[in-house]
Amino acid sequence: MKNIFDIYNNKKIILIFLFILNFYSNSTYAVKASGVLVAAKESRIQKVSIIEVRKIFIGLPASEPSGIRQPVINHSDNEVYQIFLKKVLRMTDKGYKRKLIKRIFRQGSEKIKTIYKKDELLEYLRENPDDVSFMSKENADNTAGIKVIQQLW
Amino acid sequence: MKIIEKIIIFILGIVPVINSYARADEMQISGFASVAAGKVVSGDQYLADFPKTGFYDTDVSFSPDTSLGIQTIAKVNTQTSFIIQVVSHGANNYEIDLDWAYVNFIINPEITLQAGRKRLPLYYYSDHFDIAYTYNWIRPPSDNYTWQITNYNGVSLVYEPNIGEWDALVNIYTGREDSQENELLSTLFASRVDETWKNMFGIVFELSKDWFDIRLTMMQGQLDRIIDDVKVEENIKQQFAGVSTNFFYESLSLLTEINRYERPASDIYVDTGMISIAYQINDITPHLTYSIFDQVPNAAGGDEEHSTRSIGLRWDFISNMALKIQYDRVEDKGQVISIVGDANLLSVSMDMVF
Repeated sequence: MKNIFDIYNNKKIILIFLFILNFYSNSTYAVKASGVLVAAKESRIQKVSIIEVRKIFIGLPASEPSGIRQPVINHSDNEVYQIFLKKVLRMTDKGYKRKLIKRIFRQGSEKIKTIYKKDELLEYLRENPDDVSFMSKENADNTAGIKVIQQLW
Repeated sequence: MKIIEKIIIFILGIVPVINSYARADEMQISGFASVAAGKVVSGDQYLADFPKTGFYDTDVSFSPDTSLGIQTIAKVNTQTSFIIQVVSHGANNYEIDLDWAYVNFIINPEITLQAGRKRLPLYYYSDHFDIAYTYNWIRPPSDNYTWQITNYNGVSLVYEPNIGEWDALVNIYTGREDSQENELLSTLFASRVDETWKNMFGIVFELSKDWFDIRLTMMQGQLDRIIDDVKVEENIKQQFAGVSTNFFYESLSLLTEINRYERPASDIYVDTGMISIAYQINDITPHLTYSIFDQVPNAAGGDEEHSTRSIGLRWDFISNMALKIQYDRVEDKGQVISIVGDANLLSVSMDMVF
């Protein structure tokens, strides 16, 4: 009986441990997996809809009230970029590239700037307060000089 | 080597010079280039590019599919821009052509008005036909793209709304094109042919989301044709209609296109189509394609009919650049109108956008 009881207790402990581990890992993932639209701290850009965000990132002009001049693709964190493609743009990397190139040559759309280093992105946003980009919420919370415009996912 | 030298000089020389004078927020330079080589390995000739009459023969040739294009967008103000696209094709002896020259006016974020010279958006790949980087093949399936008029001068209205999770596009256009000594027709008739497509009115409707897109196209207008200074057709009504669908499932893509061209007064009815399947494995995309051109036989002896089976490989070896190899087998079944007979073509290309 004692052995059975021990196993039962051990099972409980393992289950509690797994539950706690799962809770923490999910919390950590939730922070990492949250993505936000950002701009320079001094930017006057107001909250915009996800549909508007999607539009400007596929090359359509921004609506006037949003105050957005142009978007910037943040390629400094590939994981966040891939989530942004999936959750906001709803397309693959190849599909997105193809769409942008087609828009440039078919409709004379402006090229969307891509930045591959975090420091460069921050410097660019500070110099261009009317432009927006995206990053993880965790990253945005720990970075000085930028503000969150909108939660994206 | 001359071709490659020209392209290198163009890219390394002219573009940075223009860029250095262009203020980033007022002018944008984009470009595309394809350097292709091919050889007919069975048969005599292969017509790779109908509109520009790009023929391969049994010698290695760089000309039929090699292209270079530069697009400049000059912003006049936040709503207005001027777009020019200059292209040079090997099939046209590297002459410089003005393919696009139009004013783009943004009425609101969803509606744009364009006026000037543009590509005629008949087929799915019409308006990015020359930008080979945007598709898997070395060239869009030849049987499907047998148009003699590729551009028009006119007005175009583009409406791009969102319908739920779908991106939509409606393009209404009207205009005309006068083609002096039309390349394709002059080659096929072995005489000077001047062709005019006028009173054109067309509509394109596109609906797309991540896994699927569909495109419907219709155009009607009138045609004038002069052969060796003799007017043989005038104010002849013509119609074009087509449907394209593309499916994307993870790494698999299935592309289809069917079109119908009619000129009842001349008893000309033509069906074209293609189906292509591709599977992307990391940076490599193998693909298989079947395309067909089928004219309904008429009393004048019109019986043009040809089909092509293609197998190819695309390798995205570096950002914005792709290497391609393709093998095409064309069967020319026309008895009266035979284009070049049966042939097999092996070709390679390097495509890029910048």
